[in-house]
Amino acid sequence: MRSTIYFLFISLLFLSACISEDINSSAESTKSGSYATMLTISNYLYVVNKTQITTFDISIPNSPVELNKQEVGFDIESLYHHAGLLLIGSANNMYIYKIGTNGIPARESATEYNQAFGTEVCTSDPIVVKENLAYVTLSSFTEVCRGFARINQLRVFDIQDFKAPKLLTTIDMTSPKGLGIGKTHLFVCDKVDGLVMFNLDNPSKPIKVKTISGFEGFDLIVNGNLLVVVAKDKLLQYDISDEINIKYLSKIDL
Amino acid sequence: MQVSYTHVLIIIIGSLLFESCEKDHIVKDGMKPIYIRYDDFSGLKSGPPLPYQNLGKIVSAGQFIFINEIGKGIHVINNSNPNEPNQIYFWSIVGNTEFTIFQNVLYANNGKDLLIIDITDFDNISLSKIIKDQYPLDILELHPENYTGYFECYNYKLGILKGWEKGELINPYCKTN
Repeated sequence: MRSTIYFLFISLLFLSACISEDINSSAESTKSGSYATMLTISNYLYVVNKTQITTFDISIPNSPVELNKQEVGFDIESLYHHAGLLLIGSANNMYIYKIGTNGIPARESATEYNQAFGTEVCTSDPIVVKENLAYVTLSSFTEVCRGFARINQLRVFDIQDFKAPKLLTTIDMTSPKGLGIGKTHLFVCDKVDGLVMFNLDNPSKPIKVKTISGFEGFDLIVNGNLLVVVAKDKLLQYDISDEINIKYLSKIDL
Repeated sequence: MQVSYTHVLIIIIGSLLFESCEKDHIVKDGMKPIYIRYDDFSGLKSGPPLPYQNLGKIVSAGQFIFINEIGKGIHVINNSNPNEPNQIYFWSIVGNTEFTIFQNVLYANNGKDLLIIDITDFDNISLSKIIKDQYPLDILELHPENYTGYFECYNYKLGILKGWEKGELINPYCKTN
């Protein structure tokens, strides 16, 4: 009898531990796809529109107070946070801002995607970062980019010195979109190819290892062992606990 | 029956006149924008799940996944079991393309303003605050999806684009190829 009570008591302890972990993780686990243009970082909300970044104090979440607004560039498409830095993707630049102690970002660098001889490029380009490397996809659309040089690439930049990022690697792709980083692989959505996986054994030289096609890939979120992929009209999920053999889990397409 | 030259002349002149009238007012069948006034938030509400058509931005928070339906709102999915994700709501926010979530608050655009929406009760979301003119309007060039032909150009001064409907267009200027 006594042992049964002990057993129940210990089980309850385990159970309560599980529950509290769940609550904590859900409070801190908001993750955005790489095409995000709004992010909350501690008590600040950062919003980019086509040309500006605005900082709001959200100490009272349902009553944001604007702290700062500044011009960034043209045709901004994405906002990404990594270790106190904000990386902003625009049509022809990768901007890096450092968040100050007052929450307000200040520009550290602007890296042009221009090709040789200053050819203007017209792209759409989300960014993700792992350690000191930034992975950027550049994709051009025929409908928008008439008269511009068209490129469809994955580019790897060394941002260790974020005041002067260095281009390390360029890989041609079909029509790359949103991207995300797992433990050992880079996952890239492609409008034509679906989902393309790159091995990051050498992080500065991604090697394409797998393509899962059959949908117009748009963006994705890596959430622990779960990969959530948004295609034009479906949501696909994969178990990526083993990144070499990722397993299809489910799909919603209505 | 005798057909005089005068009759023929009248018919010819008449048809010429008619044709010139038509040139002033070309009427074609096509698509017209349906507008919602910028200050009309009556459509902002939680409703039953809707089909996926043109998906956009994605956010995951805890066991939930939120996906934008471009220009229309946000699909809410309970993903506590990723093997069987469960669509639970569609939050209708006309003009919405960008959003994020913090605690019980949804920050979402409507193409012009930043809307602060309380989502404590997923079944009954409510607008807390509007931060006006966060987004510039004059760069929107919208056209009907999956449609080829004439349409009435979207004019941002008239409101947010809610959708497109078939109608008679007078002197249409915009066309998709």
